Amino acid sequence: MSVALAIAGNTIREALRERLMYNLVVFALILIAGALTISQLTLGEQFHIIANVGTSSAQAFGTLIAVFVGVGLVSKEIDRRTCYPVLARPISRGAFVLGKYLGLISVLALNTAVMMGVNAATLFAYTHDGRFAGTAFFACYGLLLVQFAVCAAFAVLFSSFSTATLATIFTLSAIVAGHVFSSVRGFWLRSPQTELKPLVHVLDVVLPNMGLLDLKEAFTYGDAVATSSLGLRLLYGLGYAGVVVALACLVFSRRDMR
Amino acid sequence: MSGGTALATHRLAKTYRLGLRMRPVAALADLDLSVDEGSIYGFVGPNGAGKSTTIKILVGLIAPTRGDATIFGHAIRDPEARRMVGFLPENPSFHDFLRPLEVLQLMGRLSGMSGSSLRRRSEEVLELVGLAQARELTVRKFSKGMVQRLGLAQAVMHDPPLLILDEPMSGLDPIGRKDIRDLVFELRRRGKTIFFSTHILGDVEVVCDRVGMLLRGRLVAEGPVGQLLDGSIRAVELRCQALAPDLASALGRGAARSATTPDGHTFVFRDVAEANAAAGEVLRGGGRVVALQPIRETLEESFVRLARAEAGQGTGT
Repeated sequence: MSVALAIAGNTIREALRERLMYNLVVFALILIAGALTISQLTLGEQFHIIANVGTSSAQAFGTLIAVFVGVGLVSKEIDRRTCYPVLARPISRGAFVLGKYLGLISVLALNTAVMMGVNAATLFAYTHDGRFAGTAFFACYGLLLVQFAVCAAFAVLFSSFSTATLATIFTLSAIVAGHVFSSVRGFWLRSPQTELKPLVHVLDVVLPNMGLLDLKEAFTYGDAVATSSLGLRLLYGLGYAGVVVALACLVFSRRDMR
Repeated sequence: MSGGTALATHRLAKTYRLGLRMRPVAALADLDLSVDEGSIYGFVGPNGAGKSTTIKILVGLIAPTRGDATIFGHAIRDPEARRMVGFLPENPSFHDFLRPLEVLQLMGRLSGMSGSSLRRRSEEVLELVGLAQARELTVRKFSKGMVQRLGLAQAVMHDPPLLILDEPMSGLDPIGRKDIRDLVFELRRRGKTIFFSTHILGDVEVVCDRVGMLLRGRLVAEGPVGQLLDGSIRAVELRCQALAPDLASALGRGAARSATTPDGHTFVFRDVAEANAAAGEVLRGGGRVVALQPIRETLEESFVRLARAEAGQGTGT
């Protein structure tokens, strides 16, 4: 574990030097804070607009950061051959992948905290009241971080065996498919048509159910979030990401560094 | 030399599958090698001969298709084998935002070092490779020679008994090459076994105890440097000064090659007798003989000879 932590520490430093990440964070922060202005266009729905634009911006930009920075972290190590002296040491390839992933998650957690802080400040500026910062608010951002963890896991998996461009395409496809499938899975599973049912069941297991990790609406409209449901969602997300990272470790350990 | 075997390979082979049709390309075929503890072993061959493939297999970056290898008796799959190896990759690359001490401390940590011994060793190694003055610079500001030194520093960081260096002198200027050569000698003096690949044969002649020549993935020759050269005198070079112009032109006509240099004349004769006779004429004519030396086969010539022989066998001629 100390090896993975040493690699994670270096990965944090590496990720914090990514200009792309800062550009995306700045855009996200502008949008989150700009929600205050956008909300002026509506009557009586200002809170919903600020909450929804804020959390949606955090979700979109957080996902992009997880994908682009995640893909770069492993593929650049291989392209620039900076991993050669590392992998020639008495460490396992799995520890290397795990370290890269943990470093990335730490940076994503920092970004999520910053976006959450700006969203909270914007909401406070509108309501002059901190009551919005309840369980739903923190659960929403907590599960957003879990969503980013799933995206990062896919980014690490795909970049462990393909080029940066292909890994980006594969990761974005998996994430979009996860979002789309979570919207239609209920309909497909209830559909009377039986021919495609086995395929739907397979997709239900294979694709990430991103809808399960999405509490934006619950926060925006003040729906109650049960702790047990939150625990299960958290368990699902972390378990899913864990399986994908384990797969990445397995694939990377078989890769030839030509 | 300590007498033991530091590195051994047995029928080591690697076949890559290339393209959509997975066309097999043999990069290395049945390599049998043995490197004695405490020696400097040169692994030579042209680009694409399979040197880097061999080295990458030895340090665990590539899995062999066939065969096995051991490092101090440990199979290369065993992490313990990698603990005994310091590896310098070809054209090493490090995160350019790190300072040299940070690189060394990271590599040390990955090799299981920690605390004060890690700090002490990284300072010591930085001093050894002559980068102590550059401790405040980030790797981004390093010259190629400095990166190469840092590469060597991280390889010796955990004090491994075996160093595997892939093209350690590639792309360096003559001073950089000499510095690396001196470092290699210093490491050998400290009891390390050094296995290095290169295609600069001049370096091998100066540095190595034994040499293995690799060609198209096959070991075509192996042994002490002197044994690989055929030992015969190819020609004799005569250098002289204060030569009368008519004698110089007469000697030039009899020599295989001649040249006028700023401090005299140089003649190359095909055999010793011709050279001796020419030297006598120089002395009788009032000139001075500065040098009379045999020209033997160089490692480069030996390599070309073996490569031609191998090509001849390959084409069945």
